[in-house]
Amino acid sequence: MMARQLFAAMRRAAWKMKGRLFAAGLIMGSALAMFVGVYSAIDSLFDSRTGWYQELNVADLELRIVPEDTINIPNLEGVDGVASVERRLVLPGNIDTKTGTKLYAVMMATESAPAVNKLRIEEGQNVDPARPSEVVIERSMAAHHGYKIGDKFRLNIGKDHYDLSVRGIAMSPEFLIDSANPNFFLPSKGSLGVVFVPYSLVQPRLGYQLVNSLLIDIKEGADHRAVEQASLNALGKKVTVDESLPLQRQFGHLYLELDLGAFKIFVPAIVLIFVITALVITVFLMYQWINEKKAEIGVMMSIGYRTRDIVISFAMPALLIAAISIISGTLLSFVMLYGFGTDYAHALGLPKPNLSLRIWPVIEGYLGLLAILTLATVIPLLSILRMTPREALRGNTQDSGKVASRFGARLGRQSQSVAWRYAVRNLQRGKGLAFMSIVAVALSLGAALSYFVSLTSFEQSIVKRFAADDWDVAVDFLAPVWTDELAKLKATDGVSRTDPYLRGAIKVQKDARVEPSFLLGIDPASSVRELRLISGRALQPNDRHSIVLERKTAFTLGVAVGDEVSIDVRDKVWKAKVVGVFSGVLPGESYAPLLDAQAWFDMTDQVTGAFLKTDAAFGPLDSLYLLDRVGRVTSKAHLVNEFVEHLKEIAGIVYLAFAFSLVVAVLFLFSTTAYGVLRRLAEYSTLRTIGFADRTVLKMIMMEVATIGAVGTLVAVGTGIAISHGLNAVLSQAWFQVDTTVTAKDLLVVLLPALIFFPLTAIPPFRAIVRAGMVPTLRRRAFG
Amino acid sequence: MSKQEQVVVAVAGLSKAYSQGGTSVPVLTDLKMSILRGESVAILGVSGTGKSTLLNILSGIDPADTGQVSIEGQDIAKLDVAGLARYRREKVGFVFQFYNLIPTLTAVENVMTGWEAAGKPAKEGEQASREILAALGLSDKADRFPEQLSGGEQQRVAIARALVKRPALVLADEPTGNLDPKTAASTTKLLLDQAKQFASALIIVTHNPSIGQHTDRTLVLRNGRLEEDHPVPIAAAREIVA
Repeated sequence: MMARQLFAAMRRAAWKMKGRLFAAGLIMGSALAMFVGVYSAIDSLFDSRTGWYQELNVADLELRIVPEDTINIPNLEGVDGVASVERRLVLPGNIDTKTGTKLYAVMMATESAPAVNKLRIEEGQNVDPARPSEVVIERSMAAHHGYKIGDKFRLNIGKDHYDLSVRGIAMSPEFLIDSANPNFFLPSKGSLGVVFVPYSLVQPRLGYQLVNSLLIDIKEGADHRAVEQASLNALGKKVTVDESLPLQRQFGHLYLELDLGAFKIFVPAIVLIFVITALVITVFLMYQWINEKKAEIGVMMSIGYRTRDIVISFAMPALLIAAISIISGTLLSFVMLYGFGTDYAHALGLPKPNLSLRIWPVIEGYLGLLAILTLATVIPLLSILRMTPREALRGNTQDSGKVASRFGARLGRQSQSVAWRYAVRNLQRGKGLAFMSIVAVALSLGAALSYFVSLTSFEQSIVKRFAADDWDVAVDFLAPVWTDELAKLKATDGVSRTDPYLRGAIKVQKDARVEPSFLLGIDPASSVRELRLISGRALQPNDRHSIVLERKTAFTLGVAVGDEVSIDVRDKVWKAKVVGVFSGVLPGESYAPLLDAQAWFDMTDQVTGAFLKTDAAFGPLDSLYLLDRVGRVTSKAHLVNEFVEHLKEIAGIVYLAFAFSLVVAVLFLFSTTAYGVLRRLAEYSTLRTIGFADRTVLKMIMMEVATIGAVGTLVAVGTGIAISHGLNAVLSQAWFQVDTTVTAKDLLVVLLPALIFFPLTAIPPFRAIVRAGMVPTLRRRAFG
Repeated sequence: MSKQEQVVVAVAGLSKAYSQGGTSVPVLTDLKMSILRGESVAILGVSGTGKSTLLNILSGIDPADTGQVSIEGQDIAKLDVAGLARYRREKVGFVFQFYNLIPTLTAVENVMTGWEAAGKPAKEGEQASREILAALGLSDKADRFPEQLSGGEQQRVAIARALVKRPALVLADEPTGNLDPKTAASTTKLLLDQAKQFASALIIVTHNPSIGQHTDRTLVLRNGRLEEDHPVPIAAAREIVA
């Protein structure tokens, strides 16, 4: 019975500080939402992709072969582990769009509607061999170039032109994300037009059924590497395989894996900061409450309540915080889930994902929240167990004295204004409180700043790499051309320099380890690509039998600069010495002297493309499409702009996280200011009584808040840059080398709103002072 | 100076009631009094007779229900919130029972708050504050914080804070209520001397009958009315507050 009264008293007392409890609960809730929402969104995005893959029977392996008549291609259906095979002809070309510009395009010709990499028809109908000129277009072409069912367009494949009409608009598991150019591994929405046609469209012109791509669906449970090898063996010498491309290395799949992987790296760091802040604020709140109630605890102890009952009754606020944080966290989780999931899918041009809260993040989040709350409650409650009744009865003296530090006194005297001195001394008096506020502000804002700095670092690491490259336009040919065929390209107005290259897929081998790689053979004397070297050097003039490997390839193979590796190209093996290792956006990229690449691919004097350096006389980009055998034209400026635009869309997620961080910082500052000011209510009343104007009193509180805010903000800059360094280091390990770049814009975006919002936290406590009036507080004995 | 100019406080027909459980309980009824410049008045009365209410009305913290309160000829009932704050900062000095010093400010800085609140130039504030602290015998303790001072010293700092701006009216609410008799006596003397020196009208609300022995006049509040307005012998005063 005794304890029941105690609990009732504590319940009422806890309710009296509901504002602060609500603030703590919201901060905890924000941490929970960040964890549950973002992880659920990432899981939902991956699960949505898996769902699309299953629904549309995505190819587990694509074998790109030198074009061959279908009757000469061995049947792979009999290979152990192969479920089905789709034969198709893939031809690059371009489309004359409605706006008069050229759109890079690929034509995918299949016997009928494909059975592997199926199409989900979103509008209209699938391809029909009986209606060859009626085709299906991939959804991004419709979305970004305005094509509708029934629209007509011209597809140019080399010198052939196909006048087609749109029969259907479809989603393909192969093109969940558009690449600006697979050679550069950067996404760019609407940069590619994919046209699915029945074979009956091209067969009359070719005369026979040419195939250059085999899509293989592997049986569930089969060993993919074994099936790949068995399929290559089955093709034997009859077919030349240019590239074996497992799903894991397909652009859309790989990009999503790496990009979402990068977010997965960020989330724990963000959550950790929220958790630390929430932990600090809850511990602080509990200590503060126990301190306020010390005299009451003494009375309770004196009249015979058991310490255990007192401790349990004091855990009441923790229950309120738990309730508030679970309710607010669960609701905010949906905001994060849809905010992140929808924004990310939109930024990458993914189909609409199926977003839902996932059970494991929810369970982990709730358990984590309860663990943190328990920890945050138990630590302060232990102080009650250590308290003696006599000690408790003395009550709280925390703020009433011990203010006369020399530093505080001297600092205050820097101004003649007593208001300033009062504000400064209050900070010094409650230095623990001020310190915690500064830490909370620095952590919250520092975290927010780190998101922006890391995003800018990510962007600038790529932009700077491209800026260092000495080319303006890249031209990929439909098929390899002889170097003397480059004459027209070289003679084009405005083209000041041409650096031809040869690009192709190779396998790099060291002992028993084999890694696929995208090779770019360039003139070693040219500076068209400036690599971010990790070790060794770039290619040098007169280099031969040399190769520069991407970091991960080198790591997987276990090779270092100076080692010799085997280069396997179309079943021929060559030797090359690793002269450098670099970090690049495209995993598995490699560079070799052009002469070596030509020898390895048995394409002496042939190239697959060229980098162009242009000047002011250079005309429209599309004019290059008029040249013979030009397949794809990529402008470096456009590529970089598209990438920057793409990141701007991603930045929506960062702004959302920033808003959360700012709310946390403001709530914390509000909570500590309210606590500090309300404890000094009588002092403010005295000042008002002796004639200080209300605006002067508000100014005093604002000075305190502004000082904490300003110092916290200053510390946040250092903290943010340090966190960003850490995040970038992890990201560099996971993907490519990200160099930390701090811009004034990022600093302003984070710090300006904070500096505007912080002083506003002084207003509610000030209003409480005015509401309390002067009379009731003036005769209070407890000053301080 | 004319007789009218000599009057600092002029109260006429002042009444105040509080609502308690839906009924109006009168606290002050038809009060009338006037206090001259440099004059000191003790107001005696038992708890609940309205001493503090009267003080609050005179300071503009509480409004009167009816009647007029003129301070140096200005009817404070006509002032708005900002006007009342200005009135307090320019014309009124306060001395509280629990000193109400700001613990984070040194003695001299506490005194400076009175100066600064009055809107006087900050530069001269420190010198003026040190001078009055010296007059109250605290020149060697001017740079100490309140926690480093005794109760009597703290109250002297509070007196200095109230008087540093040389207000027309000083309101002291049980200024010795928290002090031992010896310290109380010396503190009262200092308060009376300084107020007289600055020609401030001084009203001391107190339970302590001996204070009335030192003030120019003693007023007795009984049942919300001022019943006497003349020097009260100590024995009679003890009876009043008993």
